[in-house]
Amino acid sequence: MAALYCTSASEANGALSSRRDRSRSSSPMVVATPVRTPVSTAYDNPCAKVSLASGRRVLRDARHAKHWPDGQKVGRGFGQPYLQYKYARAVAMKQKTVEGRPGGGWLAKGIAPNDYINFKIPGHPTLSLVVRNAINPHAFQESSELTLQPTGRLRTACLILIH
Amino acid sequence: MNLTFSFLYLAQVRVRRVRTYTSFKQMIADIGIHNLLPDFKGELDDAVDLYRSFGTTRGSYRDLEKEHGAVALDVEPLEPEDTDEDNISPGPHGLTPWTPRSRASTVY
Repeated sequence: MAALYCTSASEANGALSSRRDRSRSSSPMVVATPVRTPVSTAYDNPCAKVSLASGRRVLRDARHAKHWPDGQKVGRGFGQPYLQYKYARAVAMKQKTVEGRPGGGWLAKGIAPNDYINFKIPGHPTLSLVVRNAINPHAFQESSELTLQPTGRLRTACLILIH
Repeated sequence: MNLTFSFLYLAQVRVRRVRTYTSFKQMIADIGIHNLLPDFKGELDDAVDLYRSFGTTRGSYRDLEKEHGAVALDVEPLEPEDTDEDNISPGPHGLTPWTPRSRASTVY
């Protein structure tokens, strides 16, 4: 069983509110089963063993030291432009080395080498879920077998269980 | 009942170089299709058409290109964490789930 996390409680509630509207169910917790399995072998294959370099610790250390590991001064941070999932994976795999964008907007603020960008990657392109059951959230929290503790701070958000 | 959930993840990259162009065509011709669009099967004009088909909340890339030109950012992914000291479990495929804290330190 794997756990997937909603990005925020509000997003989870939004998604589940729509569901509630249709199903007239009052439970905000969902147990879901993936209905499609990714099959691609290209760089956009979500099952490929590629860790998308979030680099949060590297960035934090660099910002604390005010320079990158190679000694260059850390510039400004830009967040959070969207980047499609498949292109983000290509960046992580170092297949895509250049990101092209139209000028203006956040790029007009004077981006320069040694700045950093927090790309926001929306969605999982191939994951679709079918709802099998709903669990009362209070019962879920009180369960001795399932605990939200391993998710750390995300325990305040929605936890979706994939069988 | 089928539901499609949208999950947000962050990818943090370092900018290594910034180049500006007057058009996507000039940018792609200079940089090369493969560096911008890996696995893309097509010619230069096809790649330009693909870029112009994208859009943002500010408008379509086609319109923004006319107004602002194009910018190419050489990006380098930061190394992923080996461990998770912040006690946030990695999401599927090593992506880091979005949290408000990870957004707070950036300049907007």
